[in-house]
Amino acid sequence: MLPTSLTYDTLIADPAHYFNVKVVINGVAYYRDTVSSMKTQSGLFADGQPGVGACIASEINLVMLAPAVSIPRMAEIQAYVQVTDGTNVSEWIPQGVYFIDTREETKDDGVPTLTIHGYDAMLKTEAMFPGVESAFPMDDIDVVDMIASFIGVTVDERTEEAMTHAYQISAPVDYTMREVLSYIGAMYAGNWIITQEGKLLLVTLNGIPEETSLLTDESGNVITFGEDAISIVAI
Amino acid sequence: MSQYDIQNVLKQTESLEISSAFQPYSGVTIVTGEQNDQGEDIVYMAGDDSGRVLTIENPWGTQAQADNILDQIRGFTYQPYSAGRALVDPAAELGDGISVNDVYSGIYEMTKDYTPMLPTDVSAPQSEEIDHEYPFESLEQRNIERRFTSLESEFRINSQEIAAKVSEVGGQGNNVSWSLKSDAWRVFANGSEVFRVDRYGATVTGAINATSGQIGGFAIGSYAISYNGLTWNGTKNGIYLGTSGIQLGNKNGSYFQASSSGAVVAQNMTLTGTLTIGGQSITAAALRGGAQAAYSRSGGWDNTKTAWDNATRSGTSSYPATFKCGALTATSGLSISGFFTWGNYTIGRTTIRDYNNVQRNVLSWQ
Repeated sequence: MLPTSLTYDTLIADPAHYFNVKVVINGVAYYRDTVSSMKTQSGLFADGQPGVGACIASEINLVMLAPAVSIPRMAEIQAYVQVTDGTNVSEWIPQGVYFIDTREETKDDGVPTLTIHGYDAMLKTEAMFPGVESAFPMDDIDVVDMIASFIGVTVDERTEEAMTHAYQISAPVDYTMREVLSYIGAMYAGNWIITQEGKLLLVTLNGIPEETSLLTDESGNVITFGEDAISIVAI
Repeated sequence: MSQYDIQNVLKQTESLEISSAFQPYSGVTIVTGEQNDQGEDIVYMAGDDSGRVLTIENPWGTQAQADNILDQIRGFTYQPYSAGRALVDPAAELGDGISVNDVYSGIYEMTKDYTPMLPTDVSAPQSEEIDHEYPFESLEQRNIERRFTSLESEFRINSQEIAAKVSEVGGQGNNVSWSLKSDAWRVFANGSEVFRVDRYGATVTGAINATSGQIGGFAIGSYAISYNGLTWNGTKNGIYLGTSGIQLGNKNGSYFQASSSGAVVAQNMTLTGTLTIGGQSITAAALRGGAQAAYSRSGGWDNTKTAWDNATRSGTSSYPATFKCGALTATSGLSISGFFTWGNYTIGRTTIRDYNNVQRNVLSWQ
């Protein structure tokens, strides 16, 4: 769960809340008045069933008014949402960082419309692992850091928390970066994603928290008494 | 301590499909794709197959990894579900826990539609065949059938894909498992390779049962293998090896036959070594009895191994230079081309000489 502010938590608990969207393309922000449709798709597993070692790229499909400014090839798209009750607004919550894969400009009823499809940085791992002068074998987390650097992202701090065995990785000759990530991820029964904040994260298969019996409101938010949650216990 | 948080969706979803939870993980198999010096696949296994087995392909795998992964996932139960257009907090991430109605699982797939209400499809995916094809079977049976369905589906690929690269394994954790890779197809029994097909042909380690076919030009028949179609008592040049015995060659020509009861019949046999019959031996130089004595047909021949035993063959003669025996009876003509001795006398064809080699008489043949 991404970190959120008290304002955000308050607003999203309001049944009357709704969301604003923002996309930043090549440094220029566009809002709902320009963005007519936005969908994102992300997943952990390959082949639609549970497994480990997958490196699945998230995707974005965007339909918007064609901007007056030109958008370069493979331009970066940052997506955000904001919760609001119509008066108050929260901070912008990141919804992923993508790169334009295809674009099509059409005219709907004379209105220039731009349809964009993009992938996140995971797609960049399909390239061969670059030849480096570093001394192999090296710790797995160091190899992950190298790959993150190669594809222009940072490593989510939760990744290092999960990788505790410091397995030694041989020189990845003739492997793509995706294959290297895949093998390392499998060593920890995990799969790789690029988070909504644009960081490289290892998500372990069994990483979900233990189920709780905390009392929640109708929206599913945990009800607290002071700072304490209320646990339901069968008698 | 978890990496993630819990998202409570409760009943705020337009659709919800829930399947039975998977069996808890009980085993891990790491297939390295490498082979040891004996040509055996290097596979590391931890745990057992009493529950679900996580199979991983990793060239850098080790036994320690398998053990560590099992420690990590042992007992973890995967709960499949699919919630359509649920109201999920957009701060939720893949890997977070989610509670939908009374089901608790993880967010493993997520599709967001950024309309003002931001409906989100979330799921823990699984093979769709489970609920559609096997709706009334037990969890255990469904897991078994899913495994076979998975294996079958792997073969539903076109020939170009096969030619490009095949790399798959299956059945780990069972008594019999297999691997299909670009270099070979292998079948394992209890972890050891029993069958391999590669560019050199097929190799079987263990028992083979076949009632037909061929091996190296030999035909496999019922209770026999043969070459050139030879049967027991057959009249072809060939080889028969079966329940009747062994036969080499044409029964009406040159042949060798050893029956299953031990009787040996041979026609046109040449022995270059020693033939031993009941303790008696025949060689190219001598016919011998026991204790190296010359063979005695009637006890009249020398039995002190000074006759044939010491005989030599010289010139073109095929007879021994010296021959001793007791009473010599000729039942037909006796031919002597040299001389013979009689007491102290040497009797030749035309002379008789005494022990001083003095000629005593002259035989005159009329």
